Amino acid sequence: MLVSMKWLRDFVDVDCDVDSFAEKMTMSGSKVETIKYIGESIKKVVVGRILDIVPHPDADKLIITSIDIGESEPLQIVTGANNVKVNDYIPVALHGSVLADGTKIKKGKLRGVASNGMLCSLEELGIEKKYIPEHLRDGIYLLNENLNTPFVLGQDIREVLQLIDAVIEFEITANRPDCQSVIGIAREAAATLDVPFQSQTIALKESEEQISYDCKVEDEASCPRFMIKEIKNVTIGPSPYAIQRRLIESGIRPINNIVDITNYVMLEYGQPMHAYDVTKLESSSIVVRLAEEGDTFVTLDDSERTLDASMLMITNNNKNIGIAGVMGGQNTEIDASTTHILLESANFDADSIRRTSKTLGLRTEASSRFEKGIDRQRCEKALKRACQLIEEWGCGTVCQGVSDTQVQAMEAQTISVSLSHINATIGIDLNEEKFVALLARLEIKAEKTDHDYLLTIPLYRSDLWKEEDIVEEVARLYGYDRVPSQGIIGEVLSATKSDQRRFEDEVKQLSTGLGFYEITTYSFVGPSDIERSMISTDKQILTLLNPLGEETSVMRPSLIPGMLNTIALNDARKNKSAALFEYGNVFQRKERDGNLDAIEEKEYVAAVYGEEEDFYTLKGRVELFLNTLGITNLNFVPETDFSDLISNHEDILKNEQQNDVPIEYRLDVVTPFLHPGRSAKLIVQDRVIGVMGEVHPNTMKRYDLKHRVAIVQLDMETIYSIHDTTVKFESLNKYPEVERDLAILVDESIYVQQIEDLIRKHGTDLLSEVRLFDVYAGDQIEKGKKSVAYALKYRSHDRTLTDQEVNAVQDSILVTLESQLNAQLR
Amino acid sequence: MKERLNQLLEQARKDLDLVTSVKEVDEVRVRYLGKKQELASILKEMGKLSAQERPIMGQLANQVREQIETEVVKQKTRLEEAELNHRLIQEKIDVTLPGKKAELGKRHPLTKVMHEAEDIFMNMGFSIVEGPEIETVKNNFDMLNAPKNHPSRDMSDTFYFDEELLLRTHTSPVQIRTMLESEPPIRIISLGRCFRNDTPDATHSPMFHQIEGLVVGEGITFANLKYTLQKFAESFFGLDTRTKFRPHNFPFTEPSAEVDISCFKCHGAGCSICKGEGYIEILGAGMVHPNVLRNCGIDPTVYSGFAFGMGLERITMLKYGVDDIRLFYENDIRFLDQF
Repeated sequence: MLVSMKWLRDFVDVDCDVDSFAEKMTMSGSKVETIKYIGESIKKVVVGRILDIVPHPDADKLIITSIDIGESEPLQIVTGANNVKVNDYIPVALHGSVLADGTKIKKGKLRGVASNGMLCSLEELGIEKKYIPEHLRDGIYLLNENLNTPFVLGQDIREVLQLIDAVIEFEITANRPDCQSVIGIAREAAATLDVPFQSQTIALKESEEQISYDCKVEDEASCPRFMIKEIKNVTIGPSPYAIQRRLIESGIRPINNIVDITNYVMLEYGQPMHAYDVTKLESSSIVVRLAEEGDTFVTLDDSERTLDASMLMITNNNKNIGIAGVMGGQNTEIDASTTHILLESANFDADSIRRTSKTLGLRTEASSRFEKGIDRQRCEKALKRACQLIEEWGCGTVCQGVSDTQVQAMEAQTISVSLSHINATIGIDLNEEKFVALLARLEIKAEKTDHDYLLTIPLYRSDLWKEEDIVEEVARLYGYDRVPSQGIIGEVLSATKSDQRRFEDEVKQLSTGLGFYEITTYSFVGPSDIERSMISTDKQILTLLNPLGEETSVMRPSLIPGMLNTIALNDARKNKSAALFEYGNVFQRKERDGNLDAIEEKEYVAAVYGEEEDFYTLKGRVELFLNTLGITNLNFVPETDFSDLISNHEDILKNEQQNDVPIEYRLDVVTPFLHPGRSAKLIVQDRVIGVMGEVHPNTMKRYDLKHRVAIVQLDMETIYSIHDTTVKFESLNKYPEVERDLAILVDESIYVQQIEDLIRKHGTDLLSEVRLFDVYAGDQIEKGKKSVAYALKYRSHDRTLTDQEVNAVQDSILVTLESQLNAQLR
Repeated sequence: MKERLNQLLEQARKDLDLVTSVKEVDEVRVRYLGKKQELASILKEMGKLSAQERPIMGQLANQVREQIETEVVKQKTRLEEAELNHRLIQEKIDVTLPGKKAELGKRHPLTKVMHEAEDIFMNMGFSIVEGPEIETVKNNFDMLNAPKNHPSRDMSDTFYFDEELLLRTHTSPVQIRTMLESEPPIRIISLGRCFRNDTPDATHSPMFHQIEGLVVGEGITFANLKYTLQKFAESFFGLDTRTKFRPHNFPFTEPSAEVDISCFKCHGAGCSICKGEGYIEILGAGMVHPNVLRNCGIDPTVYSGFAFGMGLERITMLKYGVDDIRLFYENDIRFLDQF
């Protein structure tokens, strides 16, 4: 809401500078967004009269003017303007002057002829092009032809064109539709400054003639009040210059006196109005009713609008003449030849207007005011004010009487409040006298009852109807800055964090300790992201009804796509390596009792990429990570059984060469985004807690990744439920440990886990540690075999072990390995 | 025998003078003092001596042994020291070479600031609570006293799954859940992801994070709200931070306020960070609307409360001077490494 300080001063005496006024208004709840000082930069531009014009001797397009600026000697100015003639009064920028945009004007020579200034157009004086009538947009502004206010030679142009003002832009909160007007802001200013609000007294002269039109409302809920006044002998012309200035400063383009009056009153009172050309009406009755579904209507902006049956229309003789509260129609538009009009001032239901405006995609100054809600007594005052201006400007005669559909006048709202409750809520101690005085500033009458106060609320404050509304009024006028700052008095509360949150914090801390950087990606992804990543999910995808775009249209079923996108971004930006993790929610769709429901679960994804990273660099960290979180007995189980495939590989190749059969591997792929030979399920006591592996070459290609990426995906719901970080102390062993190495040859296809499992199983409780220290396959040993070497530690809690005891266990392990895995001792 | 002993001592001293390593010292020691060596063989002859001579020679022999031992220890210590020094010189390295890479990751800047804020509020007795990202219209709007026609409910503002389910637009539904589940006194911070239908640009993101606080109890006042937020601002932005409460309007609080903090860069003088204002808006706050309390089964005639909310991205951007919100979700490692 833009408000001219000059206009505001019609209603309230602001006795401080604009900046401090703005600060006070902000602090009382009308937030000032901007302050614009009109004409601030213009200097030394005055009124001049052209005494003489001669052609420039050396330039066809220039003329030499002699200008009287009210001083003894005329000024010589060379100009390229072609709309000036002798005796024209024009704005003259003198030597040393500054124009609105900051341009400095100095004397100089134009094609050899001295020029002591410049003649100005309106735009050069800071008036935006959109507000200047088309015929005045080009060329020098001729005061004598266009200005209907007095001026004298040499007078500061800012005074003449009324360019000295400050325009404040207020942010109006949703609860204060009454402040969408100069009067509303003026009332706030009066309350803020604690000075009187000077209301207008309106007396109309009116002619002898009675109004000959009437109005009727068919849908009272949508239109609680509709009023019309009839104006005859209308002369269309420009509005007074001062009025035009106020409209411009408020962001509205002056059009003609009648249209300007409707706009001016709307700005002043916050009541949108409309004028109909009576000669274009077909009957003497205006009817407000709902539109016919599918009807079309041409609005003032020349657009044809398709209506629906929920839209409220203004009609005449069964013809639409306006969309109620939104925009009038072309068929009854005021034009230069209009002589007879009806002025409409009405009240429409906020929801109805909002719906219509939204459906039509048409938001106007009127609709934006109606949709916030306006009290219905305001239309009466506004209508009077408009008629007053018509009489004042002499642009028509107002007929007696009014057609008004209101049956019953509004009654003032009353609220019962307790001062002690108000004081207690705010934390202040306002006494009765000050309380009453403070409310009086808001024109709220306070009447003392037995214990409490009965407040009578002014009609324009439709936002006040409960005690807490009054708490706010008191607090803001008392001053939020004056309310003391006071610690909470009461029970000491111990701050807690849920176990899940603590666990999450620990996971994050641990991850960073292991070298991972945390990433944060959107909770929504695109179906194409899911497809691209090759994740397979049995989750039902949750889709947004109104996403911003494809790439943010579904809730992520996994953190993998976001992680791969992040790695791809970093890789593309030449960030050579990274270790990243994300901990967050993943989503799936579920139906519950026929209704849509959502499941949110915690997932953890970590990945490493770079030249030196592979499955094992990640695995080591994952093991340490899970172990620290209290996950024991973790097993990495290969995802794919390769034993047949590897042995058949040569046969298949041969077959292809000999019989021209294309190579066909049938891999039973469980996790398609992972390399089938370099991926594993993470299993704890028969529960799959996650999957890890190197990213499948096909997925890598899709993201244009060159170095190996190893990734782990963990189901944090399960991990949280089984993790156990209980510490149980074990006394330190006093007896020495016996270390034995065990090196065996086995088939290459044997997983070391199989060997280790057997060692542990047959190691008895004397075996305390199994450490793999070498795996070798190569020249030194038989083809198809590998050498695996372990360091085994034995110990007892109650004695020093003898060689005999240890040998017996070691032998039994070996025997088992030989018999079950066909191992040979090296 | 006496002569032999003295000779032995002389000879041992000479040998010890010639040694150049700890190993040689040990050899000398063994040669003279070892069980089968010279001193021992002299002592074996003690039996042949008269009873008179025996103690004298015995004493002499002991003296010789002690002297040799003393010499041995002396030489050994000297040589050990020399050898150590030699080794230290040999082992000299270029300490200006880079260290072996140790890797430590970092929390995301938003997590870091979130933890910082959590700590501040936990020290003030606030518990940390969380809720789901997918919420009901009821928890997100209805229970919070948002009018049925409030523009924030529009599809142009809020992401919907259907008429009932949406992506929460603030963390306030967590307050509702908490009030429904527990009795006053309540003092909680709810934080997490929120969503609004905003096209991403330097200051907007369809996903962002909020930190919200709620206090409900007997005798809770607006003055308490001022105190709490002032203390937070001091802890988070610095002890000299001032807060400014301006009246505003929110459906779920009454009275409502917007809260500015004095610019931590210019301390109120006006600079580019605060756009010349001296103050920066960071918070929305107010006294919990009695309707909200009532909706959650809390009697507003007995209890009152305050609530506040702020954008985690905003305070993080202010704190570190980050100029584009999109950087938080892009996760460029060069960005993440700075916090």
